[in-house]
Amino acid sequence: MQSRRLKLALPLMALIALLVAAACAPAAQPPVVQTVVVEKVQTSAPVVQTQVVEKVQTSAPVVQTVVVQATAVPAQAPQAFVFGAQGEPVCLDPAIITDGISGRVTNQIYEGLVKFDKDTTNPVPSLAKSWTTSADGKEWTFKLQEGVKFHDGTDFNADAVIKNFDYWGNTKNAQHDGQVKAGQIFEYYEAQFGGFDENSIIEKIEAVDPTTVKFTLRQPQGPFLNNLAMFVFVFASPTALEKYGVDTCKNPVGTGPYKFVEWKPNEQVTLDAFADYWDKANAPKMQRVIVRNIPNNSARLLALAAGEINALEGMEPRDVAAIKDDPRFKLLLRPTNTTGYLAFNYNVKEFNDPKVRQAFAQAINKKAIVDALYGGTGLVANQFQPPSLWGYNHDLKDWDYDTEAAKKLLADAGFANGLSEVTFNDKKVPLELWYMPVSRPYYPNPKDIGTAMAADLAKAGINVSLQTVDWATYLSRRANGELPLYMLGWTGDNGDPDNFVCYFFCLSADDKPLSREGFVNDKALSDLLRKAAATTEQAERAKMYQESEQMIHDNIWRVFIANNQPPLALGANVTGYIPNPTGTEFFNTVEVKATP
Amino acid sequence: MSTLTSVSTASPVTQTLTRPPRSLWRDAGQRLLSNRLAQLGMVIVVFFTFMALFVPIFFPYNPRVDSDLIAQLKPPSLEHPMGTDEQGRDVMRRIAHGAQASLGVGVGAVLIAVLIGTTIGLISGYVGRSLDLGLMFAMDVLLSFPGLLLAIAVVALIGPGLRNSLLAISIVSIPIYARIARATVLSLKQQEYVTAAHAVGAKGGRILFRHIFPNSLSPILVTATLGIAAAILETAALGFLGLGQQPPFPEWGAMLADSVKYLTSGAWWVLLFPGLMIMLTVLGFNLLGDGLRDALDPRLRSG
Repeated sequence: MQSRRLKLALPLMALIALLVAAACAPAAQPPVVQTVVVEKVQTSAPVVQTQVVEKVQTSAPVVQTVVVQATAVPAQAPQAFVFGAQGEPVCLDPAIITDGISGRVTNQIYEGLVKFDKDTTNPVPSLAKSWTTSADGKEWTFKLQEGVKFHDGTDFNADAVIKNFDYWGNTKNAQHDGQVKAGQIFEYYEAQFGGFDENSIIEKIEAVDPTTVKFTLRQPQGPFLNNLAMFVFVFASPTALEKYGVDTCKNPVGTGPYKFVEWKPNEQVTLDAFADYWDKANAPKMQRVIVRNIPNNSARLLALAAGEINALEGMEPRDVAAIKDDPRFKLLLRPTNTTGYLAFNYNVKEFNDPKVRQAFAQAINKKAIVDALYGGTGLVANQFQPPSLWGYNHDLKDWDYDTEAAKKLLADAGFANGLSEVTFNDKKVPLELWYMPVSRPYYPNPKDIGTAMAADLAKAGINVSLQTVDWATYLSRRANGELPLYMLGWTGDNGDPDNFVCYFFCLSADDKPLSREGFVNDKALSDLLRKAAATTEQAERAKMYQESEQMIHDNIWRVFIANNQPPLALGANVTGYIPNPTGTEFFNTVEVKATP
Repeated sequence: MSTLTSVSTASPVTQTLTRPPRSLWRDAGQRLLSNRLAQLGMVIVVFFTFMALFVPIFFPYNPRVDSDLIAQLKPPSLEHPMGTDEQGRDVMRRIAHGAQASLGVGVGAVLIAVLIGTTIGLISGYVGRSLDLGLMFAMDVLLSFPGLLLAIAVVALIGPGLRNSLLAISIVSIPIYARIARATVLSLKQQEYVTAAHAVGAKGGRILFRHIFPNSLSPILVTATLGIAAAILETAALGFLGLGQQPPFPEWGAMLADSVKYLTSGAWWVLLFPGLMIMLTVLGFNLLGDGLRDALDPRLRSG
């Protein structure tokens, strides 16, 4: 009888365990309070702190109880700001990354010449004190801050700026070459500055004196200053670059307010305040910053409610309204600057037929998706740029949602019985639609949105099988052009339309289609966008970008689904968090007040 | 069947006079039917088996086109007795159709495992010597991994999907059946009727499959029934981790995983019902398995 009772209990236990596991997943991780208390005890060197913290986290429950008791001491301000991220950083070398999850960490470690002011995309001084530009827009001279040191003690000066630009843009540079051989690409440098070596828009950079650098451009570039303010053009210590080479990913050394302590894979990245930070007025308010990886939206929110994290990004649309009304939380919305799209890979033979692409555009019910799955923070997108940008085309009219029309288009294209198989790289394969495994600002819930899109497509006769893979693999397979049909999106980096439209639709420097953009190939569009980038008059540029959006729409190079105002949730005791439209946010102003 | 009856008719002559001889299986069947808990288990198992077999035939459903975002996350009502999920899909319909995936993988995986495992065990136990040593070493290696972990590893290797999770679960379960089959063969090999068969010149294969195999069936049957319960749980676990059934096709574990995010926002129905179904089927197979064991155990045999 004993065993029978056990058997009865088993399935019950299994169900309860599943439920409990879901609910308790974040609670099972070591609570942050522990870290905080340990720090309070250990006021000596930061290195020692880390060791102690580790010891507590891995030790027996008895130790934990003691620590929890210690937190009962009231009115002591917490020492750490903990941010709940939606996934794992890919790499901490800003020259290589393109994703916001890695950027969240590198923004705190590194600084560039200029940065975006507060909640705008206006470039303001950072490591450059001031700058002048020549009348023809080809020469830019930057005066640098003095007395700035990297976290490893190396001096920041004109030489460091030149060495960093050499690392990014010179294919003969030893570190650059090492990264390329290790399979990395300097995606942003290529996109923003036109390519490497002679293809780069930057002809040369000279050190006029140790605190003055002069850039000479091959041709004027409209968004040059906005480009420099991007989160990727920030400076690493030249000593560290040489020392770590391809391992710079795991050993970031910058000049920023926080310095790197450790990266526990799939768990968290820990940063500590940099004592010798140059900008005393903006010195970090918190001793420590922890960016914790909690991929599950609900788990992340539960962690915030439990006080384990102080802020988070990405939440279930259904939770957004509840957070707004909850006195325990603050809800912040980033100004919309993000677009989610569905991209075609043009190595799929069938996608080269505009009728097939139009069938996709007409089959998807964007409005229903935005209404149901964005929690009231989304907008239907009909073009790449979000409406906040000055290049937005207000006259553009989107394709109608019309399942019957889509069916007819498919039939006209020769797929009267529907489209389930495609020819990809000359092989017949089932048509796959790839959705990302992590919640992103433009797709708060990619799996649900993907499922809804797949259902819309199936109603029109396009049968896709939904696929996903871990985030780093997803991005690298996209970069290599291996995904036939995929969801992805973009958060603008610099407030310039160039960063949206040209980044994706400009061809490579030698006019070849790019693998990372699914081999889209439109020379006329690319030429127009290049011309727009080389123009400095904004009104003139705006017209060109509006025209380019019309061209993309008419050719249906991609299907744009939604813009979002990505919500951020903070604990009620967090102050000083300024949401920036680019998602480039600095934690030095953030303060976690003691809860009364 | 002749060997089977010969075993059970070894009862006193007097009894043969009062009641007609019964086979082991008939006897066991009757004892199973008189066991209350086993009855309950059978009802549950039959119910879900019917659901898995006939719902897809009589109520055809195309999950590919099933999405009505306007009706998303509606609480249970007359129209949707178990509510709707985030795509506005009827939860009850998806549960009914998900039964095929969950039960199919559970039963299928166990069938494959029993077939392969028993064959390995029979041969290994009968032949003995170095073959036995080698085969059992391989089984021990497989057994040394925690089942679910090994299944996850296998799926990670061959890719997610329902068919692959079936394969993974069956691979994980093989050693269990191999071990049981071998153990029974080792004890049956010494029985007089096997010696007798040898004596009349029966070949090894005939002895193994005509004389030994039928008599080693009962422990395997019991383990397999309980194994189905475990396999259903493992299917659900793989589905929960996103390694089993892929969207938009329904499977209970995957439905549970998709619904966990509503834990904080009050949409309890998307979470409760798939979980309940997993619990009930596992309970059903466990009760049935327990009943079978009691029924087939000769020591518990009543007059």
